[in-house]
Amino acid sequence: MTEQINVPPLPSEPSRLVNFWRGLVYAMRSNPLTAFAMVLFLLFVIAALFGEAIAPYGPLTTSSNTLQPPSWAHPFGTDQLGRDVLSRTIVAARVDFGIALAAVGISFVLGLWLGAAAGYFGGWTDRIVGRMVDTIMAFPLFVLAMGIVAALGNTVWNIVYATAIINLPFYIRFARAEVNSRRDAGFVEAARLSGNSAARILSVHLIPNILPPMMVQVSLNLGWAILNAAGLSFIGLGVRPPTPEWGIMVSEGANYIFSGEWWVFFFPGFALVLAVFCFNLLGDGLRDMIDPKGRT
Amino acid sequence: MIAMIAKRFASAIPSLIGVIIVTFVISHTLPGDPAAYFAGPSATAESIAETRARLGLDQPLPIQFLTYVGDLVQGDMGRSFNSGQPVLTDLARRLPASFELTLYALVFAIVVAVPLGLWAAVNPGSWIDHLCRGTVTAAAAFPSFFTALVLIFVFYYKLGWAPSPIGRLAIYFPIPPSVTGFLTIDAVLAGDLATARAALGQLILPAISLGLFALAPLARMTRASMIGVLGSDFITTARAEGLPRRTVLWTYGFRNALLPVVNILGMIFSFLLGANVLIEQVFGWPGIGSYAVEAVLTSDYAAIQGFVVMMAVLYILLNLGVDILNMIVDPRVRYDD
Amino acid sequence: MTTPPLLDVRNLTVDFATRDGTVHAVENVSFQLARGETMGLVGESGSGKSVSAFAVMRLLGKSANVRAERIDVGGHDLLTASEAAVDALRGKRMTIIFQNARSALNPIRPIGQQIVDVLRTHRGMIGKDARKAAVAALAEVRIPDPERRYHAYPFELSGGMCQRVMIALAFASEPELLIADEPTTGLDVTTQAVIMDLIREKSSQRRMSTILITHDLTLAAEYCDRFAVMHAGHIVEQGTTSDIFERAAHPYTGLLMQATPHGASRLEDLAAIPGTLPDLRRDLPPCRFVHRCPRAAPVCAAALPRRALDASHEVSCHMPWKESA
Repeated sequence: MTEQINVPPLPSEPSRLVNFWRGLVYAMRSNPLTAFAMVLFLLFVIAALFGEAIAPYGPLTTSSNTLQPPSWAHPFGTDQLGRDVLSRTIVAARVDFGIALAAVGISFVLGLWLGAAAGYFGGWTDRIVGRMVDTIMAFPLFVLAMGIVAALGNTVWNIVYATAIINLPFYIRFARAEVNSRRDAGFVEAARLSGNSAARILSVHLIPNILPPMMVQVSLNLGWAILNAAGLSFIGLGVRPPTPEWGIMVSEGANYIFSGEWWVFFFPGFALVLAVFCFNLLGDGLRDMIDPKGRT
Repeated sequence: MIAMIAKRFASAIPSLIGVIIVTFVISHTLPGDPAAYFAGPSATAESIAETRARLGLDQPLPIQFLTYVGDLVQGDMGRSFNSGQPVLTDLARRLPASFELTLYALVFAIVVAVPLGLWAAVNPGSWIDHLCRGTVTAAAAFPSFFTALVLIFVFYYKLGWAPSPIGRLAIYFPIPPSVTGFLTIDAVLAGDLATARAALGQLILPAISLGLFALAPLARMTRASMIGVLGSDFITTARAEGLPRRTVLWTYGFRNALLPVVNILGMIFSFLLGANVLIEQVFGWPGIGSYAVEAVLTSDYAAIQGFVVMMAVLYILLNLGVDILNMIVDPRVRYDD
Repeated sequence: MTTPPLLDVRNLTVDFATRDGTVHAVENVSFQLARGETMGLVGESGSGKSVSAFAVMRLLGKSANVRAERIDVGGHDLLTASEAAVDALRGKRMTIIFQNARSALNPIRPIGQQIVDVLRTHRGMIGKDARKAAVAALAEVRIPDPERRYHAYPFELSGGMCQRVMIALAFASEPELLIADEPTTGLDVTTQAVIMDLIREKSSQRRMSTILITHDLTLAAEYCDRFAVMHAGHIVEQGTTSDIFERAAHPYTGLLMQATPHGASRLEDLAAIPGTLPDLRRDLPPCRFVHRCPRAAPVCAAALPRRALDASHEVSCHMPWKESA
């Protein structure tokens, strides 16, 4: 009917790739900070991977030039043992990112499966997992982390475990809600009727569907994990001196505030701020891309 | 209403049980041998065994748990190794300091965050909105201990505006007789305004450092919730009825936008109680946070255990308070069930 | 026309800026409404009915770009009026009733209080007087036990009761123009009739003009004097109820009527019309129905005409079913 008519045909729907790209461009343009965060993130990753190669001095190399203010030779100054604060700040990226990534990785994987199982099976599984989440959430989380590290022993891995545990509830709740809302969807029902096992349905049909929103959670969570880990080492838990780590460096630098040597605490602290800032911005940007309505 | 509150109380009991179990597990999975630890460095095998029996550590775990719960119910949290005092006494003595600090921080956070969030919500996309977003994102990225140090450096060392950031009150001020435990209030009650001012001065920097941490979630929530409310049908109705802008924004908008904000106060408390530990450490604040840090670093187990239980109980009570507040402001919750 | 219309809308165009481009939601829409008249604005979801109504009330947000030659209500120019001036007109001169009454009422304010807010704003009533008037307003929409219901919150009332409250609220300020945006959707059939009768009764008592936005043709036919049929942001045809139902000229209206054997169902249920609404984000042909139209012809690529078939009947089409007499 319409063929013989001289009317331009409707253009076809843009492909998913184009949509994704448009979303990315839109997110970057509507919020240039996201682009900035991306660059910052790359810089941190480079510092974490190649820190010791980039750093102008060895992070543990002491010298007699103690507590020198920032200069060309030492842009961030030197600390009480004459170590270069810039080099230590760069090298510390690996420890801090490492702890945060490991902790978030653990809580992501564990939380995803526990939450997905609770959401899929319901009943007792749900009740037990739910009770677990409630119990963790009944503590002020940083205090719980302190208690866990104190109990398990004062090591870096225990900081990772403690941070992972206090992050767990967020992932469990998220995954549970997402799976629960899809449990009775047509494609799941179809998979179930064609004889797929629960584990297969979860891993093939449900979990891939909830990964994108989970990634937003991960990104927002990384910043928080770094804050917690640094907080714990600031009060003397976990990482020990002389290991370069931002929280410890701030804590050591705090002693020199009253004599005016601000650079010892300031630069590592500021690196910490930038790292958290960067993850939060990325999380926001990612959320804008995936769910523009959920913007807050 | 009373029945509802009683019900909320009852619903907190499982959390309480969970907390007690977790603290028990934490304290009994401690690495090393507490008996050897409590028996002291020069202990012999016999004296360690004796200590173990005295502490009840030779009993099976369920018995130990019952003993632990029994002691807790009687308020017995053991004796602190550092101070030699019962843990409960120590905590009770230090609690007001932490409370006062947290309260001031919360007030600061609310006073700044709520207007900021509202302002941004009413003018979305404007420079004030971007300022709000920027402030919120930045504030969320600043670890409270770092903020505290920067503030000390600027306002104490550089400008000299703030008093020496050590403790609740400089040594040469008399401590007012304790009524509320809040130095600022007690001093005013005692009629000693100079001391009240001094105590307030000591509070400002730590309260701001702590409050800044709670600022981000509060402002973010206020903004999001106000934007959501302003986009809702009943606001359109109010506008379509030609109600004055002030009524639309405040009576219809703000009061509804406040509900989710009240709801996240529980989370805010979790933030504040945690950050409290760090802030007290920085400012030499004689509260339960610095007590805990000291306990953790010197492996003062009874004190750590007592602190964690106390924090958890406190947190549960605060959440209960938030629920009750919620019932007061939201009729739907009040009549729920 | 002897007396000037109460509502005069000429060439109203509304675009929305979204992340996926500009949505051309409404284009060159014109209609007039006489005092005491009830006009049905019908069309599928997304055809621009509500957007047009919201534009008239100046209730659209900042993302909307509203242009028109004229929007007049009772001689007041709404197009250029300041925000404050529009505030003064809203409620007083014109008001709107929404589809979902429960969410259209403030959830944490007693309903009586909400009516008092309107009375205070527009009729300067305060204290006991306002209270009494609010109770009377509730009684007038036949809410049982209005004294007690005065203190009720919306969540304590049924959907139908909430809609009555909405009506009481809308009429409290004694406006001249009522826009009822799907006022009965989501209510059961009996309640629908009760609510519609209530609206008709109240508006005829006060000689109010009503725009009834709906996709329920059967319902609309019973209550409206005139119709405007919307498709994809255009008014494709307008005329009296019998013009539309018996002498439909636009192919779209024609298909609607064919598919709606008198007294049948809602627009949404019609599978008879091929295709769906075009994507309003793209460049659109002059006639937005052309891709679905059985009568489409080469001439349809030309600018859309507006043909008056008689004094009351107008169609925007190159190829109408019936030419004018």
